[in-house]
Formats: sequence, C-alpha cells, structure tokens
Amino acid sequence: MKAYRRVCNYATAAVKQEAQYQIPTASRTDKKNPADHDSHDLSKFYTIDAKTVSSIFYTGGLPKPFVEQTTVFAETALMVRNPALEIIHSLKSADYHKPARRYLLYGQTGSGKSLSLAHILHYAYSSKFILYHIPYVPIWLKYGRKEVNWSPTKNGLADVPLIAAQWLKHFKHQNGALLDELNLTTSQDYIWSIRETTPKGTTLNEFISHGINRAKFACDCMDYLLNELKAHCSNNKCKMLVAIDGFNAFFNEKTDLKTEDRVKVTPQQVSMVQTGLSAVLSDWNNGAIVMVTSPRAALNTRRESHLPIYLIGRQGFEHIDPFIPVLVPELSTIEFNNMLDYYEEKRWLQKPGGRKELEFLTSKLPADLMLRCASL
Amino acid sequence: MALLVKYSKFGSCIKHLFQMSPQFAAKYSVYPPHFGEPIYKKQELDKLLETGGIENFKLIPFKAAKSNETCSIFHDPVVSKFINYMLIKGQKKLARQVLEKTFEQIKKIQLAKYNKETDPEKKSSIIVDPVVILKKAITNCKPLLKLTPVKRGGSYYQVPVPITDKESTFYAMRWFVHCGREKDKSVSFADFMANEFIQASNNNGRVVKKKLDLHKQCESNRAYAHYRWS
Repeated sequence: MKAYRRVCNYATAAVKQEAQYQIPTASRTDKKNPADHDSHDLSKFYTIDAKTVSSIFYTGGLPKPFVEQTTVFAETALMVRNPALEIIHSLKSADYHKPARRYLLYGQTGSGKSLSLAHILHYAYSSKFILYHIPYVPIWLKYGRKEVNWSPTKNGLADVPLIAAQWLKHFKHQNGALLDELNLTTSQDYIWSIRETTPKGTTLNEFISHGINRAKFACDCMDYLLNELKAHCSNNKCKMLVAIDGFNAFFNEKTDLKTEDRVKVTPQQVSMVQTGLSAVLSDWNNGAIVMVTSPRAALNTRRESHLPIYLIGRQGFEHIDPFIPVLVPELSTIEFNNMLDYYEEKRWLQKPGGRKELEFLTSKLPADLMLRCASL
Repeated sequence: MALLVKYSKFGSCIKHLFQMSPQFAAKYSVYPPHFGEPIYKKQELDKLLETGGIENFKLIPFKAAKSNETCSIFHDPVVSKFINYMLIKGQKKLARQVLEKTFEQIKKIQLAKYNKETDPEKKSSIIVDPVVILKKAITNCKPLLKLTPVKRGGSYYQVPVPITDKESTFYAMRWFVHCGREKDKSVSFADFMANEFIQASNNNGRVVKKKLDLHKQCESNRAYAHYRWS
C-alpha cells in the first residue's frame, strides 16, 4: 500500500480511506458434501477437494475460464445457488420406482448453468450415482478434422469413432471405481466382427475398454453401454444420472461434420446424438436426467432467446416432454456481493468500491463479472 | 458536470482578462490557450469544493472532457495514456483489450507468487495490483537526461540535456511499447509485457537497461554538454 501511495501521489484524504479498508472474507459453508446443503447455505461458497475435482471433471465438465481461475486461486470453490439446490433436493426426495425425472436447466449465457450442473454432478458422484455425463455436446459436432464414417451397423447414421472413444474414456474415468464396486456385467453376447466378440457376463469395465481400444466400435459400444445401464438401473442394481450440457445442439439444423464422401451430416444423423437422445428418454427408472440448454450451443444465427422452446424447437420439446424446467437466473444482490467478496479475498479484484459500476456493466451475470474483474 | 458548465460559461465572458501560459498550447487546438484542463473526476471536484480550492477555478473557462475520460473508479489517466501510446491505426479497442489481457497476466503471475509464499511479511510486500506495477515500472524507467543533436562546425553532436518530467514519462512508456513490438512472434504481447512490467518494477529487465544505456551515453558525451549554450 505504501508503494501504491508513493507511486500514485495520492492526497491525504484518499490515503485515510485506504487505511480503513480491510480485505473482506467471503462467507463459506463447512459442509463439503453437497447432499448436506440446505437453504441456510444459499449464496455461500463450498470447496470441492482437488481429488474429487480430478475424478469427476478431469476430462471435461467445468468451463475453461473457470478452470483457469481455479488454478490461480488454488482451490475449486462453487457457490451454492438455488437452481442446483432445488434439483438436488428433488433428487433426494424422488421416488426411484417411477420413471426417471427430467430436469432442464436454462438461462442466459454466462448465468452459471454449467456450474450448477457441476454442483449436481458432485452430489450425484458422492451419493454413488453412475454418471452418464456428456460434458458439452457442440464439441462433438464442431469442425476439427474429425474422422466421420458411415456406421456399419445402423443404416443412414454416421459414426465419429475417435470422439466416441474419448467419451468412453471420460465415462471410465468418472465411473471406473464405482463399476468395479457394483460389479455390473453384460447381459448378452456382443458380436463386433467375425473374430471379436464380448461374451455374456463380461464386466462393464472390460466392455468399455474394448470400445476404447477398438475405436471403430466405440459408437456402438456407447449405445450398448447405455442399454446395459438402463437395464441394470431398472433391475435396481444401480442408480444413474444422465447429465447433458449443451443439449440443444442435438436439435441444430446442421453440423460442421462431413463424411469421407463429402456428405454433410445433420446432428440427427450422428449415431452418438441418437444415443444421447435415447439416454434422455425416460423408459427406465432408478435415476434422473438433467439437461442444460444454452444459447452458445446453438448455431450463431439462433441465439436471440435463451428460452428452451426457442432453442430445442417443437421436435425437441416433444421428445423430452414431461420435464421440469429450472431457470438459472442472474446473481441476486447477496450472491453478487458475496462473489465480489470472494474475489477480493483471493486478491483477484484489486479495486474495491466500484461495485455499483460492476453491477451495471455485467447485469450481475457471473461469467461477465469474472471477465470484467480479470483486468481490475 | 453542471458545475463545470456553470463556471465555464461564467468564465468565458472574461476570458481575455485571464491568460494562461499560451506557449504550451497546441498549434491547431480548437480551444484558445487560456482554456483550462477539465476536472472530470467527481471525487476531485468534491475535494476541491471541500477545501475551497474551487475558488481558483471559478473564472477559468474549461475544455470539454475527452470521450474516454470518465469519473469511473476503474479509470486511470496513466493507463489510458499508455493505451494511446501503444495503439496502431486507431484501433483503440484492440489496444485496450491487449493491455487488459496484460493486466490479467500480471495478476496471475503475482498471485502465483503470493499463494506460494509462506512468510507473512514477505507475502504482504508482494504487489498484485497491475496498475501499481505499471506505474512503478514506468517510474523506474524514466530517464534523467536525453540526447539532442546540435550542429556545430558542420557536424551534429549528441548533446546531453535535462529532460522534463512529462517527456521522461513519454520516453519510458514509448520504450515499453517498442520493447513489446520487438518481441519474438511465438510469445503473445500480453505474456511478454506482463513479464517485462514485473521485471521493470523490480528495477531490471530490458527497458531499465535501455534507460541505463542512455545514461551511459550521456555520461560519455558530457564533453559536448556546453554546446547547449554556446
């Protein structure tokens, strides 16, 4: 501070104010397990320990700017917010004999949908749900010199083998330990080719490993895996949470993908998308489905509204019809102040006193706030 | 603002009575030389009102504030000056974004140090605020003398002459910008400059070296110093 005064040549009146300024501390909860969170913890921060973060989000799931921030702050802290808490509460009190409930998180760009989903995922992970988690759908469908082939098993559908293998790795990373513990096995023989078969009774871990090693079959493996898991859930052997971020990308008009014979592929023609859509169907029980629609996942010509019907269209709406929409709003005043307290505690925000201005500039959207505070 | 308008109107009636150092006025300025610099920060105006210093400004007409001069707490005249020096082809938005990125990078580097440090005394001495680091870096790089060519006997001599504060600040800022432009293409401007600012605030780095080089040359040319007068 001394140096600051000397460099800036501040007058005495300003110096007096600075001497009074104390670095605020953000309010936090001690409850590490998201299952314990209740309305008393609203708008407070809770930290996820590094081990859990790496076991859930190692291969995707947290937005990239947020991950950068966590490395700077040397901790992963999430704010307990109402939308996530609502869904967690609902998951706790749900009747799992009935078909899986569907929740749809929606909200403006940068309002914290993905982090709400991360909170829910942490809950599901800690209460031993199997996570069928698709980190961000547009990654599958974006241009990136991907190898796209016509599927040998499903007529008219295209496979993206390497991406599917990557996803299987992600799945195995999240659930490998739990699958070992539950000791789930395949219920039928799978014949991949003349020489390669997976007999009945193989553990699911081995089944997935086959899909990862033989990327050619990864898309099929993904589909079969879903069917197996659905069957196991319905037989009350395990619980499953299907979580899909950027769900509305399934219903976009086009993708950047092209097959080798230069045919443009629509999202509905990609076999992984069909798998994702079938994961969302509630023809199984003992689990739940959480979807996130975001304008950013839509094509850049269709981002005018963040409302789900606009983003997923009539077709998508009918596909997921009975569902519980949950709005992720912008930060409330308490949340906003706590967020800035957190930034000041972590020394990220160096200029206190501009809160009203920041509120006006960011309209209390947390992602905008993060960007604004980056240079201050 | 209302205050400014009031006084400027009142002052303009008697502008010919009150002349302010005309030799510093820009040649083609819209404003006559006796127009004062605007006080656009609300806090400063309040302070002037409190201390009664406003009396000195009552009869002076003022220039209008520039579009980038706001009373926002995040606005800093040194920073906006630096942005003006580094921009190319009027791409101010781009220049601002790049400097903001630099600030972010400075904060990241300093916070990494801050989080690593265990000794509380050393920890509190680490400066994280990027604007403070920028200002400190600039003050460390301000030269004390400069060289001007003077023609004597058909040849030009580089003569060391004293430098004004404003000019030496300009030298320091310009050296930073040039240093950023000469960097390797594989490094981004933000990363490079962040390192450079932090180094300069600790009194080392390329720009400080540039300053010392200039001082050295002034020292070696001290024999020509009298050419300034004769």
